[in-house]
Amino acid sequence: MAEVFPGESSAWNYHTPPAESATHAIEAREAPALRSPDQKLSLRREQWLSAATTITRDLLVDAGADSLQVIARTVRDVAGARFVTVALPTHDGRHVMIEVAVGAEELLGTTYSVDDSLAGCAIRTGQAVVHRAADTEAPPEWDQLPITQRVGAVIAVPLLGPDGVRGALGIARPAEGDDFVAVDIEMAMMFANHASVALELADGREQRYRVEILEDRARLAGDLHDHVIQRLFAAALRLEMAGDDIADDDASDEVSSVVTSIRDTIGQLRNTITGLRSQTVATNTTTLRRRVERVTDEFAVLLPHHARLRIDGPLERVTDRMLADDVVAVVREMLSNAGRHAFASQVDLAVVAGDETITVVVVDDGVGVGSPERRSGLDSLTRRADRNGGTFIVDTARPGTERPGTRAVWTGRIVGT
Amino acid sequence: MTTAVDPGLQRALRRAAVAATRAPSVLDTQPWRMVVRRESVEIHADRSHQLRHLDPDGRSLIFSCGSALTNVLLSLSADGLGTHITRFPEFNRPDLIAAVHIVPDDQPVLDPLSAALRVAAVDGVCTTPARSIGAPMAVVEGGAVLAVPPRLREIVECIVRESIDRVRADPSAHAEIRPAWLSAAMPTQQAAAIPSLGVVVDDRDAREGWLRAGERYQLMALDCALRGVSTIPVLPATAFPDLRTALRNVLGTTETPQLVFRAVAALPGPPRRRRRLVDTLVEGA
Repeated sequence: MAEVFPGESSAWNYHTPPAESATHAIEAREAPALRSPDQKLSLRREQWLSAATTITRDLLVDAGADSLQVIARTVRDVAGARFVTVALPTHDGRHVMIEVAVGAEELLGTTYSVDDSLAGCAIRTGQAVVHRAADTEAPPEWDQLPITQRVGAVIAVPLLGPDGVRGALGIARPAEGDDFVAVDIEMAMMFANHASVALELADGREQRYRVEILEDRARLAGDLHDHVIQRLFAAALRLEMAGDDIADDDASDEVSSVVTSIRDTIGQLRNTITGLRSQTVATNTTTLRRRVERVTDEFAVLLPHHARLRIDGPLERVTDRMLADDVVAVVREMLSNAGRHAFASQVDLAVVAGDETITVVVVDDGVGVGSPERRSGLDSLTRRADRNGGTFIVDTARPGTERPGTRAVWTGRIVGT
Repeated sequence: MTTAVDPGLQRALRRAAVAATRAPSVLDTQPWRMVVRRESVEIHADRSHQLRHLDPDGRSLIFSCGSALTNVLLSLSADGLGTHITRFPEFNRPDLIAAVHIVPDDQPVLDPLSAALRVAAVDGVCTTPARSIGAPMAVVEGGAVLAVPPRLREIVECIVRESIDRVRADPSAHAEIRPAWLSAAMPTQQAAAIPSLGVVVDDRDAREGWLRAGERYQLMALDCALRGVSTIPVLPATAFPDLRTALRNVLGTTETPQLVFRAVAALPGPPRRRRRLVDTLVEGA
């Protein structure tokens, strides 16, 4: 771009509308017209105003249409423009991209430096930027059009949202067209402000559906936490105290086992709540916790009883995708071993994240590790442990008993520690 | 810029990338990111738009990227450019779905019909009046897009209904779907007027197969669009392993059903809301 637009003297690189001269120009040129210049200006003003009032309705009524398209089309009609673009800042903040290009689809997706384009200038300064037809070089974002579509006068107007500049409208007239006059610029600014508000509203509605669901989850999580757990906790405490006063040993044991089971329930509830909360925070990324839970659910059909799952520690610290994938694969493999080969009736699964390592433990009450067909699965578990700087150990859970069972412990290092 | 960049080529590549962002996607997830390079366009999967509950394997995600790939090929072919396609080019980058390189001396991979198809692809909706409703099924018969024969339609509808019930019963899955999509998946009177159910199948039930199925689906969908028929992907029917098996048995095919779709008489309407180009398009080095 540098050779096309050398230095600061570029004609388009100023920010204030040329109010005086432009108004003079239009008076001089349009003198022979049927309407007086004043009438013509007031007509334009009226058109802009009515466009501004309808844009909000248009954006809110037409749920399917792209709001930016609606805005661009409206502007093209009211501004007597040939081309209208909407440029948005890219994620690196140093460029703008043509997001919508009415009449100039060729420009879609083109990017320009913020410093080196009309739209970028409007976004940077928050001011309207004017390029007159007489200025020889077209602004960079417009000079890519085919020769038959050469533009003349161009203005770029910022779209000001509540959080700053959202983008810029680019309005271009054909090479032989009029310059934009002060009233055009003033009205375009007014319209752009109006359109920005409408845009916020339309975007907000898009979000609402999802937000409602998330709020629902958050409320559910809050209720569970505030009421259910506290009541259970209180019940367990009262039982425990009552149990101390019971003389009969059997009855006392019975009470303390109930207390234990209530405590377990509280633990499971906490797991559920964390699950609900994590969904409300990170909707787009499935957490490792969710993935582990899902795999466990999948194996419900293979095992006589749903595997008892305990998840502990900050699993969200496992940010490395490879490690997370390995953990999920390990859980799957271990559950599959227990279900398919060990004829286990009860399987306990624990996934525990510590400061440096993540540990997966599976204990079953099956036939033990003797059978050779289970070896290949075990090899792959060892490989997955090796590549994560961890270990994989299998031994017998209850040696010497009829159903010795298997205990498998897999660890992996959490990257970044 | 040190090396000369052919501006015409750049324009063609960018057009192709923009066309790709206009491709249909399963449940309108648009789970992709296009990267325009000097001599190629890359399609990347955008996992942040994967349906985590309904599509844990990424089956639909890759299927959708397949239809984007078809749009890239159509656009470049319409510009008369030869291409070389590599699907999943890098082993260590599973989210790089495909790279399409320009091969200047080669013939376009798709015939000139693609010029018309490109218009339909970019517009997203077809406004051509219905010419021969019912004909598209003849086009899609054989190969790997199956029309559901009338005698099997009731059974397939049952499977579709079952899948939708399951989604409704599962709050997490339900949350991923807009209500409008569930109702669109259900049969309507309008849909009943034409032989309206089809299934895209592929024998490779892995990412290559999913991608190819998506590519074929989009070719078929565009062809339908030119004939005034819209196709609506019905995701849930293939989201559950047991229902996939059921579909396979019902259709008597050995291949895996990848997507069930409904064909309806095209309704002119506003263009669909797209994800922003700033979020889906990147100009790379």
